[in-house]
Formats: sequence, C-alpha cells, structure tokens
Amino acid sequence: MENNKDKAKETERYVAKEFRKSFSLGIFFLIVTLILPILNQVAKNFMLGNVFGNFSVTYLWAVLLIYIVAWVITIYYVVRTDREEEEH
Amino acid sequence: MIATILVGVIVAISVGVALFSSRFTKSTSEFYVAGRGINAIQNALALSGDYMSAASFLGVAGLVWAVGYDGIWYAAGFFAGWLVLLLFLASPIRRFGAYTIADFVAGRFHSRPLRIAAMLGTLMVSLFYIIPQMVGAGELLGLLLGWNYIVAVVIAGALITIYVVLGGMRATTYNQIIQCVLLWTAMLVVMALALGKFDFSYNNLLESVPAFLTPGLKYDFLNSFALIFGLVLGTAGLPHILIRFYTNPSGRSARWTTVWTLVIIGTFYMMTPVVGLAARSLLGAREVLDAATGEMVARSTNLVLPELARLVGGEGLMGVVIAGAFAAILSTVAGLVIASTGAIAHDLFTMLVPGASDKRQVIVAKLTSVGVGVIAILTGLVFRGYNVAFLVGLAFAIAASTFFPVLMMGVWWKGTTEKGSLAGMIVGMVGSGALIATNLLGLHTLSNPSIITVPAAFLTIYFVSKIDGEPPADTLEFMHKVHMPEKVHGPQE
Repeated sequence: MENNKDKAKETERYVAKEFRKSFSLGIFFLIVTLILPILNQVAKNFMLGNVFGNFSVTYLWAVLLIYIVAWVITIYYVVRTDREEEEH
Repeated sequence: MIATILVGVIVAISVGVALFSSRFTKSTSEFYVAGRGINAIQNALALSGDYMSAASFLGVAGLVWAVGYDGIWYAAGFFAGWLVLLLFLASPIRRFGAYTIADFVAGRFHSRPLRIAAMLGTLMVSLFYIIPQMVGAGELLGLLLGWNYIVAVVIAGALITIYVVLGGMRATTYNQIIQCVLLWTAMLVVMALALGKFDFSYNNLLESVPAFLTPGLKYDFLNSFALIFGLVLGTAGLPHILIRFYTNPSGRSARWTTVWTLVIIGTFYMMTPVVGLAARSLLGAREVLDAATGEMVARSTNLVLPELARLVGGEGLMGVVIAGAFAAILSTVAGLVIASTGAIAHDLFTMLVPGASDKRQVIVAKLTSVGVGVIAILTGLVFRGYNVAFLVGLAFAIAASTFFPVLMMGVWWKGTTEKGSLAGMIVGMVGSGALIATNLLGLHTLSNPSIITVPAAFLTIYFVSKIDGEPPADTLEFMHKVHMPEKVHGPQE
C-alpha cells in the first residue's frame, strides 16, 4: 500500500516536472510563431522595415527566425530530457 | 520523354520495394508498425517523406507564387507543428505502445464510444488529406503524359493501393525514405538553378518581386492568425504522423526521430519561399495562353514548380520534379491509407469481432486498404482544381480540433474523464467540419476554423470532466507508463 503511494507521488512529481519543462518551452515557441501575424498588424512599419538589403523584419522572421528558434529548443529539450532520464 | 522515364523508375522502385517487403507482412504488428523496429534516422526520413506531401512540394511554392508572403504561412506552419508534437506528445504516445489513435484513447479511458469517435475522426482527417494528394496526382500526370484527369487519378490511386496492400508499414517506410531523399534533392536543385537566374543572390530575387513580400495579399489578420494556429496545432493531431511514432523502438528514439525530422523538413520548407518567389519573378502573371483555344486561362498553382523547373533546367529537371512530386504523393497517400485502414480494420473490426485471429485481421486490413484506395480515387475526382495546400490546411484544422485537445488533456491532466474527452472530441470534429463546410458555401470568411474549435474543445473537455469527476481508476498507472523513462518500467510493446 505504502509502496503504491510512493509510486503515485513519484509519478505525479515527474509528470509535473516534465509538464513545466514542455509547457515553458512550448509557450515560448508558440509566442514566437503566433505573435508574427499580430506584429504584422500592429507594428506594420517596423515589420516591413529592412534589416539588410531587401530582407524585411517580417520576412526574416517567417523564413529564418522561426526555424532557428525551433531547432535550438529541440536540441535543448532532447539533450536535457535524455540526461534527466539517465539520472532518474 | 525523360520525365516519363523518371516517373516510371519511381513507380518501378515503389512496387519493387513493396514486393520485397510483402514477405514480412504476415502479422498485424508488421502491417501497422513494421514490428516496431524502425530506427530514429530511418523513421525521420520516412516521416519527412510521409509529411512532405503534394501540399508541401507543389502547393506551398504555388501559393507563394500566387500570393507571395501569405503563402509562406503554410511553410512556417507545417514546420512549427513538429515542435509542439515533440514537446508534448511524441514520447508518451510511443511509450503507451499501440497501433492507432483510437487504441490510445480507448486504452486511456477504456471507452467504446471514444474508440468509435477516434476512428471516425481518423477517417475524416485522412480523407481531407488524401483528396489534395489525388488532385495533385491527376494534374501532374496530365502535365507529364497528357493523360485525361480521370485516368490519371485512377491509375495513381490504384498504384498506391497495391503497394500498401502488398507491403504494409515496412514497404511504406522504405518507399517514404527513398521518396524523401528524391523530393528534398529535387527542391534543392530547382532552388539552386532558379537562384542562378538572379546571380545566386537571394537579395536580387527579393528585389525583383517587391509587391509579393508584404503580408495581406490573400489573408487578413484574423485569417493569417487562424491559419498558422491551425497548422501549428494540427500536426500534433495527424493520425498518419502519430502512428509512425509507434514504429520507434522507444520513447527516446521517438524524440530523436523528431529532431532529425525537424532538420530535414526545416531545410526543405526554407527552400519553398525561394522557389515560389523565383517562379513569380520568372514565370510572371497568373494567366497563360492556352494553345488549343487561343484564350488566356488561369495557370494551376499546383503546377508552378514543374513549370519553373522546365524554365530553369529543361525537360530533364521538370522530369525530376514531377518524379519528386509523384513520390511525395505516393508516400503521403500510402501513410494515410495505412492510418485509415487501421481505423477500420483494427479499431472497428477488432471491436466487432473480438478474438479474431492475427491472420484474419491482416486479410481484413488488406481488403480495407483496397476500399480506402477506391474512396481516395473518387474524392480526387470530385475536388479537381482546388489548391492542394489549401485543402491540406483544412485537414490540419480538423486534426487540431478533433485530436490535439483530447491527446493533450489525456496525456497531461489526470482529471480528464471519458465523458469529457468524448464531448471535447465531438465538439472539435463537428465544429470544425461545420465551419469548414459553411466557409466553402460562402456563409462566412473564416477559412481555418481551429482558432475557435480548438479552444472550444479544450474548454469542453475541462468543464465536462470537472462536472463528471470520475477519471478512470487506473489513471495513475497510465501516467506512470507514458511519462516515466523506459528503464523504470521496461520498453513497451
């Protein structure tokens, strides 16, 4: 009985920890992605301004930034999760 | 002629792989999940081949050509959804160890009505996804061989069905790997040659199409937001993608599969705006002269990429592109046929005939594949002329609304109940279907309904579960199984 309680507590702790990690990374990425159409609407001049050459802020965001952020989060998440599972 | 030979080679390879793999498809485990023996890199290539459909290969470039920046939403959305899948669902779904989404929800809630709802949802999403692939196949073969659209759709559908029936998931996997390499390479070659027309300067390319770099040519703010919202969340609810995670040997392998997939599809989607904008600059306006009638006719957005390939690389490159596109269609529809077959032959049949032998289940699965193939052909004929990326966007909206909320809540919230999940799934499925239908009928302008139906499904699950207050008794065991590392409880079968 006591053993079951311990297992339940351990599972709940682990799930909560995993959720915090996934949720914080997921929300950050969703903000980076979903804020783009919002900024295109509310900060049009800034978003259409060129960063260099003919590359505007909004264009670079859509064709580059989203990808880079996703790749960085992916590597961070997978390496960290693998390490945590090894240590568990 | 070169184009025809290349497509013939692709077809011959696909059927050859299916014949080779047919020796393995004697059990349900082999037919649906290739014996769970596909490693991370193989799976990533197969997943990428499965995912990069006619919509990605032909549709996105065509939309960028037609509406510029607004077409780029599709590339970004198709890509971004993978991270959501990785962070929230990839490992838990694999650890549960099942064949279909219906298995997963039924296993979590022990519910026959939920199994049926998941089966119907799988069929609905798969059908909306199959339609554009068949449309693309019909148009491509028409361009390549001058075939009548109907003949082209029938032959493409028959071919796909044959190789799924023969080879199951293993043949589908091997073919998807080959097809992924082919279409990624084809996109790279077209992009390089197209950029060559601008002195290999991305900046020069952008300078040539200034009017197409501004948001708003097709979508207003609300529709832009709704579209990307639906695409990002829809990926994590696509049945043919989710079932592929079951083929991984472990949860860790499922995560690394997603990493490699993000690299492959990310680099692919980064190329599509370049190709689409180059097509706009080099091919010009939307209308072309029809040699037969002497009239100006609308160019199909789905054929922009092969036309660009012909312009920058001649008939040979157009052949490579058409072979790549055909490969994309073959691999995606094969994955969808497997998912739909699983819904009917596995979810429904095993419910109606409990205890059916493995051999009998495989026979039913193969017969069902034939039936799904016939439906794919018929629907392909009905939706002729629609842009394939737009149609796939609708499949994403249904997937996001029907499956994403129930999977998220089922995996992460122990308070989720059977009634809450069923209510949420119905709200998502019926709501998205109704809003899509009414949009197509011109009753409102919201082209992607998930911005309404996904939150509605989440709220429904939450409130009905709270009111119900009776989560399954073994919820904690489920949580332990799907979240704890394999070394705690051993690998799942």
